[in-house]
Amino acid sequence: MEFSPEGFALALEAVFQLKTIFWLVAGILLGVGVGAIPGLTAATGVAIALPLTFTMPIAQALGLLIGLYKGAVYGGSISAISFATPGTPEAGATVYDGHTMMRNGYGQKALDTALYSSVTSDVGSDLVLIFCAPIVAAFALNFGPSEKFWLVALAFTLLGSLSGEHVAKGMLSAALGVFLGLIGNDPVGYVPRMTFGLWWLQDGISLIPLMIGVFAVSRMLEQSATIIKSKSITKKIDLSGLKRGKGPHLGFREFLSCWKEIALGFGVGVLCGSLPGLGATVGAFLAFGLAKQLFPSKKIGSGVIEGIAAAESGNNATVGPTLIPLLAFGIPGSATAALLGGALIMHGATPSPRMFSLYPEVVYALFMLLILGNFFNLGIGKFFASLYARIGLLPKSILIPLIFIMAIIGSYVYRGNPYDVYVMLAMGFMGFWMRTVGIPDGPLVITFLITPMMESNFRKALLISRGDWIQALFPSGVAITLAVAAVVLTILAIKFSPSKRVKQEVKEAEIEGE
Amino acid sequence: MDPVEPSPRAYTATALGDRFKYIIFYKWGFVMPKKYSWIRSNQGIGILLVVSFIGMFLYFEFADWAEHVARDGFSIGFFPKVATALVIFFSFVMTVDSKRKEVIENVAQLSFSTLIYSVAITAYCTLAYFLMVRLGYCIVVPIFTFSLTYVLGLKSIVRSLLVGFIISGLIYGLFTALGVNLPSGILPF
Repeated sequence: MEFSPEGFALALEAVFQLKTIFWLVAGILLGVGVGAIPGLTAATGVAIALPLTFTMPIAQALGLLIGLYKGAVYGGSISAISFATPGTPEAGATVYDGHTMMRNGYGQKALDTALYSSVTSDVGSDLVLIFCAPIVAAFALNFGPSEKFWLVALAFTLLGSLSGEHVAKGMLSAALGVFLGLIGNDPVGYVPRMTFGLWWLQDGISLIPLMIGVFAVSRMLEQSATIIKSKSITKKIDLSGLKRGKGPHLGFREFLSCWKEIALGFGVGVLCGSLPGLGATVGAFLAFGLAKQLFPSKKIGSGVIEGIAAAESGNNATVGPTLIPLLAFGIPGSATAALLGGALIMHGATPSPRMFSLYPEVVYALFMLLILGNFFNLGIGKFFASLYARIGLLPKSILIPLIFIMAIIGSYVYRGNPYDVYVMLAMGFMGFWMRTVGIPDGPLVITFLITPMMESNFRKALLISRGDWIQALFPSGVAITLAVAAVVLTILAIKFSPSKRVKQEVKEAEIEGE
Repeated sequence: MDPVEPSPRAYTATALGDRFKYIIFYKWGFVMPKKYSWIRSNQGIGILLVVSFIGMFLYFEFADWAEHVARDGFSIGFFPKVATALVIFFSFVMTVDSKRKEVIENVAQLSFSTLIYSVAITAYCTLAYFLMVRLGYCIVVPIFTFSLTYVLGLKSIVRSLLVGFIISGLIYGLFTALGVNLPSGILPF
């Protein structure tokens, strides 16, 4: 992929503006808070912030969303360390060492370790994205409709088989995404299909209401039902050990002594981020588990900085690579990548291999914001971690109405279509029930996003081959390889389920913790 | 594993299960803390989904639009039917795979009140939106936020009112600053 100096200059101009930097910092400030509040994930935060970006130029919009994403991935560790409740699922592995250190009076050191290893891995993962995405995209440019179809099919099977611990439920979620993605006019015949007689479904289900519903409203429904039922009252938690300047800080040499765990976490995280369906939670737990097995002398899990370093670098190293499939193929690697993809589509820069030549300024701006975001994340995390620990205790009775209102307004202002709000609420309700019965929601949103690509490429391939199905599906070695990979990887994913390993890891750590 | 302390993650449905399965599950470390109805197992949920989506498939099969043929030779109903068949297939897999008798923790703890609360909150949000576009953001949203805040546990009316007004004001300010007009309804703003 050729470097575009004009695109680079435009990106520099767009990124190094006061407004863009303001939104990047605002995103990180908000994101660390979202991450620190148990029950809110990076995807929830990005989904809720998405409507705020409708009127912004693309660089500012990306600044806000990337800041939020990075902040939330790191922010989860704050509540994991402070009160043993991971703010986000990916921070779950940080609890074991982090909270033990907190109880032993080393809370500040634990927070420092989480921050430095998060930022180190995040920078590395962004570099992986910057160097790999253009190469992979250049390769993907040679793909015809059949290869693109198989690529999407591969993503479908990976998403289904790797998301969650029950393969059938993951696959079901992916299939439901395809089902929802087909609602609306047929792209060739322009005849309404699956609209159930509702004229406003002819344009299909909008991406933004679906995302807000599934990622934000479903979680709030779940939490409000739980709160009303249990009438739970927030427990008083002592956070006095987290006051700035109290307790020993992490020394530079001490941090460097964890280089092996950080490197391991980085490697695992990059791998998990690149494969659609795995994501940060698996990255963190696998890195933690492997570090415990490979370095038994360090007693990881008993309250040591090495455990935090492995887990945090494992989850943050997924941030960059999760965008590789999005930028190179137009296929999001995770729920948050799907949200960022949605934002790009909304601003007219549809992710695809041609994005590097069509919108180089957007791609370069994205890269710059990813790198810049790490430095702001470092500064904000360093100075405000103890404050965020208190934000993590914010009552749900305040947060839930706030998120409901943001979701309703966000869906309403997206296109000014009143039915979008009803769709959003329906998707929220559906998402709530999916979560209740253990069906993961990530595959649904991602396959919903890629279904038009899958359908159009399949139809194009058949048109090119004049209706010959064999010729349409297997016209080249690449298509055959991708088809075989879809089958083989699915079998491998079922056999060596990383999610199962994570569950096992949690059980082992819980037993040891007791 | 101590049989007195059940694993919270793996509940096993009993209604369809036989005693041999019970022993195998027990040996594997899964114990039955409580008898749950079969409908709460993955198998029960899977069958509900299979039946619903077979209904959907039949609806597509007999729908007028499904028979139209597009320029590329595909009938309009082809892809919807393929997608529905995929959903039916994976729902069916849920009913026959090795985890078919498992009842996951959330479903085990599910009560009728959860259903009522989730429907009620969704309906309340729908009503709030319905009224908001007619009466205006500034009238409806503070009342909605106040009431929800109160119901969700901030038991002081004054504090809930205060929170309601602050949240509504903040969101109004944020969107207005971003150049987004919120529904004004009967008010001029």
